[in-house]
Amino acid sequence: MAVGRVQGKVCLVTGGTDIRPKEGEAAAQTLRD
Amino acid sequence: MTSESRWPEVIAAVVAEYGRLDVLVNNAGVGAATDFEESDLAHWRFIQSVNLESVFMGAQNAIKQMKLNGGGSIVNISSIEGLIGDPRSAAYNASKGGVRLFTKSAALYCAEKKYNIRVNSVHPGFTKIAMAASAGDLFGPDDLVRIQHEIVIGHMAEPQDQGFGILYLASDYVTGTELIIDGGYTCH
Repeated sequence: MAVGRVQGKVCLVTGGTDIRPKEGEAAAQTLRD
Repeated sequence: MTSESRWPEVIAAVVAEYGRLDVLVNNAGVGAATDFEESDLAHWRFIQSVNLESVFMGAQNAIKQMKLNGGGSIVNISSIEGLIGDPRSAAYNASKGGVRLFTKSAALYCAEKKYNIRVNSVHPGFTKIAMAASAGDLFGPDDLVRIQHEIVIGHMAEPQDQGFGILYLASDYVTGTELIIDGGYTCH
């Protein structure tokens, strides 16, 4: 997750380092997301 | 993110540090190509848990906070695979399709309650990010050639292409809509 201000708005974004899919799943997500 | 009890803690931590929450981007997701007949329920539930249930919990908790602010914006990251099928990604298709319609339900709920909270979905297509180099292991060279050919704009998206769309939807008017950012992949 990450949190910070974007154009003055407080934004919370999920995803990133808190997701550790098994090898292969990460690559699939890379292409689809 | 998949823990129901942790979500209120996350929102509270954001408010403690920043005083409010204006935008939630439900971006986390996982996917895997699996054989339809061989994949098991544990895999199905894992995909739904990360891709769909976390979106529900995030939105629910964000709405409770945003209505106190006088409004906000929730952007749910679905996928082009929430719009079209893939024979190797049934669980992923189901989860991302769920995100698409969940978004509209949440948008209607917030409008009905007059919370001034907008809820929209983004549907990224194939996008260049750091791990893309290993994708050939899953799709194979022929698949990658086909994918590249079917992106009518001629190339995969840059991460910023997705970011611009998310930023737009974080603005103050649009709600209940779905923004496809796929270089035309799904238009034929």
